[in-house]
Amino acid sequence: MKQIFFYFVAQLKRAARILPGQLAVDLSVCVCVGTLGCLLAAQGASQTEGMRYRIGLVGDLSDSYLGFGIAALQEMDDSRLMIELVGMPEEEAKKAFQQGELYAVVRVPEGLVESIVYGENDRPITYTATQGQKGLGTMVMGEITDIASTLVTASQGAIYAMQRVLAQEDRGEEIGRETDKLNLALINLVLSRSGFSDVEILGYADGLSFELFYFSKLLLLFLLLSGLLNSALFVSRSKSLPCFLKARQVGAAWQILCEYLAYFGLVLAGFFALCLPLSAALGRGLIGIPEWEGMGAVPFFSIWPAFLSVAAMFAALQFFLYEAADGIVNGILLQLICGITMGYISGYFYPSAFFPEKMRTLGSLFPSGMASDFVEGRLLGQLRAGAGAAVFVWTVVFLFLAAAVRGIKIRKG
Amino acid sequence: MPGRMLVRFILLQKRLLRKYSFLLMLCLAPLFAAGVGQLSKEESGIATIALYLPEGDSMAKDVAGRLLSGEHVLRYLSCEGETEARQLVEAGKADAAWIFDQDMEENLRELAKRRRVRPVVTVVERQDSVPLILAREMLSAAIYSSFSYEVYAGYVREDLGMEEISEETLRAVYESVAVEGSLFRMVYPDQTPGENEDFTYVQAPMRGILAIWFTFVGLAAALYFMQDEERGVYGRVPVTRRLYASYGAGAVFLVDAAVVFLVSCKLAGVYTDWKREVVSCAVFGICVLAFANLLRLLLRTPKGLGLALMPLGAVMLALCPVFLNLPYFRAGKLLLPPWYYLQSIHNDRYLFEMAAYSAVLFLVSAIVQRLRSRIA
Repeated sequence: MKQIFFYFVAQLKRAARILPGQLAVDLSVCVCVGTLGCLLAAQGASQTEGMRYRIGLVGDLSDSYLGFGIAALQEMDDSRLMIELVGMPEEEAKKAFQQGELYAVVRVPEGLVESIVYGENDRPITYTATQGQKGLGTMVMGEITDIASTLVTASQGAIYAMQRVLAQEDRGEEIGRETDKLNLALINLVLSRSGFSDVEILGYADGLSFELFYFSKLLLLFLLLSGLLNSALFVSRSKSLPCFLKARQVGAAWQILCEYLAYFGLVLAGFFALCLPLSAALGRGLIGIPEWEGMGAVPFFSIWPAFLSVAAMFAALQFFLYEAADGIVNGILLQLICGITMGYISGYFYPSAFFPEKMRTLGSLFPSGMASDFVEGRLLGQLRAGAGAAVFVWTVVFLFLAAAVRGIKIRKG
Repeated sequence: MPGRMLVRFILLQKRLLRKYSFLLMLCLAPLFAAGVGQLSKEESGIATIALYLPEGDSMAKDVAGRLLSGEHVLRYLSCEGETEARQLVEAGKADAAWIFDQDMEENLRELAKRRRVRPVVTVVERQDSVPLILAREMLSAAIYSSFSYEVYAGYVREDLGMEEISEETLRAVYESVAVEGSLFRMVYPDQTPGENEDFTYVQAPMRGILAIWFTFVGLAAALYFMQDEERGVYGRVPVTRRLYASYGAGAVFLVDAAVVFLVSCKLAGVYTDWKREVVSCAVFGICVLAFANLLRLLLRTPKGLGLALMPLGAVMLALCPVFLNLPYFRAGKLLLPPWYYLQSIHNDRYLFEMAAYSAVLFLVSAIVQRLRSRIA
C-alpha cells in the first residue's frame, strides 16, 4: 500500500511539473475563445440591429428593369432585412470577396433581362459564395436562389400564358398594356408572399437557447480535446517502469488508478482555469445567456458537478487512448481523430438534429453523446439518470480497458 | 545519393508501419470518412417539418409535391391529421407543422380573383429560428407557383373579359409556355459549376476535418523526430544537416497520411478531380512539413510542442472554413496551412499562395536552425 501511495505522489508531482505550462495554454485558449465569442456576439447583435449580408453584384447591371428589380428587393421585399446588394466592378468585388467583406459575388450576364422577357432563361445568373468547397452556408444560399428562381419563373409563366391567350384571340394590340398591369399585380403578390402562412409560436421552452447550447458544447469540446492539452504528460514515459512497479507489488490496476487520478487532476485544473474567467464574464453579464439572465454565474456553478462527472469520463477515455497507442505520436493522433469524430457525430459542431436518424442514434451512444445528454439534462433541471449511469459505466470501462492494456504490456515485458 | 535516400525512406517506413497503433490511427480516418459518407445518404435536414394535407385537395397536393421533389435542406414528416402534426411539434419531434387549409384550392382561387394574399397554411412552431424562416420562404414560393396560375386564370377571365374560356384551354396554354430551369447557377471561383459536386451538408465539413488531421500528422512527425533526437537516433547527423533529416523523417509520415487523406476524401464523397486533388494535397503536404518543422524549431522541446497542440487545434477549427467561415482574423488565417488548402481546391491563387507560404516557412526554418546552431 505504501508503494502505491508513493507512486501516486510521484504521479502528482509529474502532473504538477506540466501544470504551469498547461495553465498558460488554458489562458491563451480562453483569450482566443473569448475574443471569438465577443466578435460573434457583436456580429449577431449588429445583424439584429440591421447589419446585413453584403452581396456584390457584378456584370451587366445597365438594364433599367434590372435596376428596378434590385431597387424593389432593397426597398420592399422581406429579404432587405438580411441582404444588402451592392453593385461594383468585377475586380473590386473579387478583392472584397477574398478579404471576406462580401458574403457572395453575383454575376449578371449580358442580355439577362431579354432572356427573361422572351422566356428563354438561357443565361443564368452565376454566383460564387465560397472560396473552397461548398458547405452548409452555400447550400442554404442555393435554396434561397431556388426560391428567387421559382418566384420569377412562375410569374413569367403567368405573363406569357396571358400574352399567348391574347394573341390567339387576335387582341395583339392589348398585350403591352395588359402585360404591364399583370406584371404589377404579380410583383405586388410576390412582395406580400409571406402572408400565405399564419405563424403560431407555441413557445415551448424545454430546449436550450442557441447561446446556452453552444456554451455547453464548447465546454464539452474543450474537455473532449483536453487529451491534446495534456499530451506533455505522456511525452517521456519509461517502458520498463510498469514491469519494475509490478515487481514491487504495484499491479497494473493500481498503476493505472494512480496515473489516472493525477491525469484527472490535470484535466480538472484545465477545466477550472477555463471556468474562472467564464464565471467572471457571466457574473459581469459579458456573456449573454437568455436562461441565466440576471442570475450571474450562480447557474453555471450549479452545473459544475455534471461537468466534473463528464470530465472524469473523458479523462478516462483519453487515458485509455494514450495507453493503447504505442507512443506519444500515435496517442496524439488518436486523441484528435477520436475527439473530432465523436464531437462531430454527437452534435458538438452542428446540432445533432441536422443529422440523419442513424447518425443521431450512433452519436447518442458514444461517450460524447452520453455526456451531452447528461449535461443538457442538468441545464434543463432534469435528472437524466440513464445518461448519468452511462457516463459512470463508460468511465469504468475505459479504466478497465487501460488496466487490461497495461497488464498485457507488463506480461510482454 | 537517390538510392541511399530511398533506402532510408524504406527503413523509416518499415519502422513506422510496424507500430500497430500508427496503422490503427491511419485506418481510423478513412473509417470515419466512409461512415459519414454512408450515413449522410439517409434523409436529413436542418429543420423537420410535420406536413398535414387535406384529403382530395389537388392544389395542396401540388404544393406538397413541389416541396418534396428534389433534394432540399428540410426533412418532412407526413401526418394524418392536424392534431398529429401539432403533437409532433409539442413533443419536439418536429420543429414546425405546416397545416394546409381544408379548402385550400377554393381559398387560393378566391384570393387570386381578388389578387390578395391571405393565410392558407397554419404554421405551428415551437420557437422561431433561421432554418424555420428559410423553410417558410420555401413554403411561400411553393404556394406562389400554384397561385400565379390562378392569378393568370382569374385575370384572363375577369380583366380580359373571357369568362367563357375553359379551364382546359387555360391550362394547356399555361403549360405550353411554362418556363423551365433555374435562373441561378452556383459556380466556384475556377468556374466549376456547383452541381458537379454532389454531397450534402453532413459530408461538407469532412475535407476540413481531414485537413486538420493531416496537419496534426505533420506535427506528430515533428514530435517523433524530437523524441528520436533526444534518444540520439540522429547523433551522427551534423547539427547543420538536422533540418534536412527532419524533413525526410516528416515526409515519411506525410506520404502515408497523404494516401490515406485522398482515400478518405473519396470515401467521404467530397473528392473532386484527381489531378487537382493530388496537386493540392502534394503542396499541402509540403506546407505542413515546413510548418511543423518551424514549430519544432521554435518550441524546442517535445513538451512545448505537446502543449501547443490543443490551442493549434482550436485555432484551426475556428479559423479554417470547416464548420463556419468567419470574416475575421485574416492575418491569423494566413498562418494556417489548412486554410490555404481548403480554398485551393477551386482556386489556383491559393495553391500558389500555399506554395509561396511554404517557401517562406522553409526559409525562416533555415534561418532559425542556423541561429540555433551558432548559439549551440
